[in-house]
Amino acid sequence: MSTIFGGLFFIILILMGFNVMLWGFIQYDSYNGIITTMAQRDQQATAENLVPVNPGATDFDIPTQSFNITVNNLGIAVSIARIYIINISPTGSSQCSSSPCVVDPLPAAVNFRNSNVPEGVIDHKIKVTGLLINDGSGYKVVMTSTRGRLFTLFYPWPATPPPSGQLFQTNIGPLTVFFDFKSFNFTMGSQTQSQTAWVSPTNTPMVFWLKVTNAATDSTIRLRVFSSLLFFPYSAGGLGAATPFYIVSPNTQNPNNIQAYNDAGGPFYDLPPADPSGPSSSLSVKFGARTEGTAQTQSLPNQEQTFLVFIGFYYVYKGQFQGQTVPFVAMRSCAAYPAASCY
Amino acid sequence: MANLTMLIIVVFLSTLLFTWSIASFGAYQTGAGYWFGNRSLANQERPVVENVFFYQSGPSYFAKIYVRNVGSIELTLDSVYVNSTRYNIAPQLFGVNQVALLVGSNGLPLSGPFAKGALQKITVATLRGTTLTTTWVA
Repeated sequence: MSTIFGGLFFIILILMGFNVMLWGFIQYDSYNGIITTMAQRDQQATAENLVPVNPGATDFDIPTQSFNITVNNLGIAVSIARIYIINISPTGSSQCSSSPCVVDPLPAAVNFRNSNVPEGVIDHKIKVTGLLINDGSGYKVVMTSTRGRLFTLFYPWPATPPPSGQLFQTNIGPLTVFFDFKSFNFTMGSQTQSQTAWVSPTNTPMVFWLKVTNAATDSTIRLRVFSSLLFFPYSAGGLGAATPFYIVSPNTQNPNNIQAYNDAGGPFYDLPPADPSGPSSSLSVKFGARTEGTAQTQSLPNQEQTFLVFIGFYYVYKGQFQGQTVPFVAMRSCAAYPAASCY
Repeated sequence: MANLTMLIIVVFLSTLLFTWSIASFGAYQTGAGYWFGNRSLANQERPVVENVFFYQSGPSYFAKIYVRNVGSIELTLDSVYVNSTRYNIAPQLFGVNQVALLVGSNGLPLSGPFAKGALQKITVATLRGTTLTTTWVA
C-alpha cells in the first residue's frame, strides 16, 4: 500500500517537473518570438534607404504654397511619418528659425502627400503644402519614417567644392588645362628646366610650357599645328595687338633648340584617353614659334605689359578635326626680369 | 502495524516533498516569469528621437526634443539626459506611433547655455529601462 502511495506521489512530482519545464519552454519560446520579431523590425528599419535628389525641393507653387521633395528609394518601401523643416540661415526670412516647422500628413494645415514611397521607385515626389522654402534662406529638411529612420536634405542643395587637386584646372571639351603655380612655365636661352611664367622677360625668345591632359575616355587627342597661345596686352585692343606663340615640337626644350611642330610626320602631341579611374598622365605642350608650323622664335614685346592669355587649341578627337578657345591666365612681362621689382 | 507505519511515513514524506516542490516551482516560475515578461515588454520598446532644436528665449535656454514611439507597445519616458546631465521630467506616456514634444510646448528647460554649433548628446530613458542616445548639433 505504501509502495503504491509512494509511487503515486513520485509520478505526481515527475509530472509537476515536466509541467515546469514545459512552462519554461513556452516562456522562452514566447520571449524568443518577441526578440525575433523586434529584430526583424530593426532590420527593416535599417533596410530603408531614401535618397533625396538634387536640387532637393522643386516645383514651387506660390498660389498653393507648395513644393515637391524628390526622392529615390534604394531600399525597402518607406512611409514618411513627419517632416521637420529648420531654417539654418535666416538671411532670407525668419520662417522656421525660432522653432522647427512641423509638417504632418493630411489633414494637417501644413501637410504633405504621397508619403508612401514604394520599394525601388525613382523620382518619387512628396508634395509639401502650406509653406515654401525658396525664400533665400538655407533649410534643413528632415523626413522621418514610421520605422524611426531620419532622411535629411538641405535646400538649396549644397554646392560640392571640387577636390583640392582640381582647383587650378579648367575643363573645356575633352581637354583639361592646368594653371596652378607650377603648370604655366617657360624656358629661355638654353635652359632645360622650365620656370613659372606668371612674370616673364620682355623682348626675349621664350618657349612656354603648358600642362594638359585628356579627360575623354573614348578617344585619343592629337594636337594640330594651328594651336597657339595668344597674349593680349591690356593696353592695346584690336587685331594685331596680340602676340602669338605657336605650338612647337615636343622635342623642343628652349628657344635655342626650337623645332617646328609637324602634325603630319611627328613627333606628335598625342594625349591618351582617360580610363575610368581618371585622366592619363599630363603632357607638357610647348609654344614658342612666331609663325605657324615653323621654328622661328618668338618674344613678348619690348614694353612691359600685362597680358590676358588665351589658348587656341586645334586637335583631332574621335577622328574629327575641331578647335576651341580656352581663356587661360593673366600674366606680366618685365624688362628687369628676374629682378624682385618685377613681382 | 508495520505496513500502517510505513504508509504514514510515506504519506508524510511525500507531503513534505510535494509542499517543497510546489514552493520551489512556484518561486522559480515567479522569478522567471517576471524576467521573461519584463524583458519581453522592454524589448518591444523603440523610442526614437526625431528632432532636437536648441534655442534661447530671453535668459533661458531650451531644447525641443521630439520623440516618437515606433515600437509595438506603449512606453513611458521617465528621464532625459543632456550631455550626461539628468533632467527630472514628469513621466510622459507615448502610445504606439505617437510623436510628442518632451515636457511641453517650450521644450526642455536647460540648466545652462549651449554652445552654438557644438555637439549635444541627448539620452532618453523609459521606465522599463530602455535607453536611447542620440547626438545633435545645437
